[in-house]
Amino acid sequence: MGMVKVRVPTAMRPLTDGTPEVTIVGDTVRDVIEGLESGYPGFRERLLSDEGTQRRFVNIYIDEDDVRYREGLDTPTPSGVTLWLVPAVAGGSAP
Amino acid sequence: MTGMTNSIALMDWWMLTDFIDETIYQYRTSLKTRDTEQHLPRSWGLLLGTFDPDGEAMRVKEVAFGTNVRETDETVLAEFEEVIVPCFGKPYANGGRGFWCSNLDVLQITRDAAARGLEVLGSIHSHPDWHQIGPEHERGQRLSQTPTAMDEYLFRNTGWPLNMICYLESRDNEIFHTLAAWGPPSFVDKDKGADPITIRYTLARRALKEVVSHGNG
Repeated sequence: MGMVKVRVPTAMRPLTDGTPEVTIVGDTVRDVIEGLESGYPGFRERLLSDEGTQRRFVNIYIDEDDVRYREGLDTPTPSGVTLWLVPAVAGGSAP
Repeated sequence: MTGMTNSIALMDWWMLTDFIDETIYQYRTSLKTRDTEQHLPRSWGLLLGTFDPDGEAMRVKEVAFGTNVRETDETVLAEFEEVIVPCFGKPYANGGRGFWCSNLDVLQITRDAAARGLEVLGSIHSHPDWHQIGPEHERGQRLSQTPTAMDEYLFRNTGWPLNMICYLESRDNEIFHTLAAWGPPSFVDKDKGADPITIRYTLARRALKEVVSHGNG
């Protein structure tokens, strides 16, 4: 099983009680999300839609690669990689 | 974070200089083109800083700028087409409205910031007094330094702890601004709006001698 470092953005730190990096065991992105959820409840809802797909407001990178353009939630997470959770930065403007 | 309220943003006023310059440029361009095809003023940036150990204050130290992919990224276009435009109105179908930073830029800015001991705290964007400078048919909705419904939707879903809005308003020949900051609305309780965050500007530095002799209180 892969030991994956997960970098937690400030936007999700309330879920880890302020911890910026946690280590999770999992062979795929989906496994890692489930591992996060069991250790820090609330991650699944923040990362996945009700249908279980990756939410548009969150991007998941394995080192430099956006998993959306690889195998999505089934993208392998080899031991030693860092998984970056990157929420969108977006806002409104004129009405 | 247990005991963390993040209810205060501390900053030097000059830290926003580049953002304000861009905001004024965008605003003036909009005014200059208002009788032809009016330019939609848009300025935004990422806020970098640190959290104070007391859990109450965030220190904003830098503004970083990224690439806007509002009109080019497939995922973003789908979000606008399927959710934002149906929920918040047809004006948002115009790609000149709203911004969305390139996700890769957010990642790189996050990494660069981390290497310097900083965090991405959130973002800042501008609101013009569209009810005064916009085309006549769009003067019904007043913008201000408070978030629009669409802003709150984005703040909730992105979750960043600090969301600043800079409102610009013309009076006679002068342009004024108001800066306000907002926390993310609850992700769980969708009826809750964004809570205001107090902005405090540095007034002066205390001399080291004074701090040593009188303590920090």
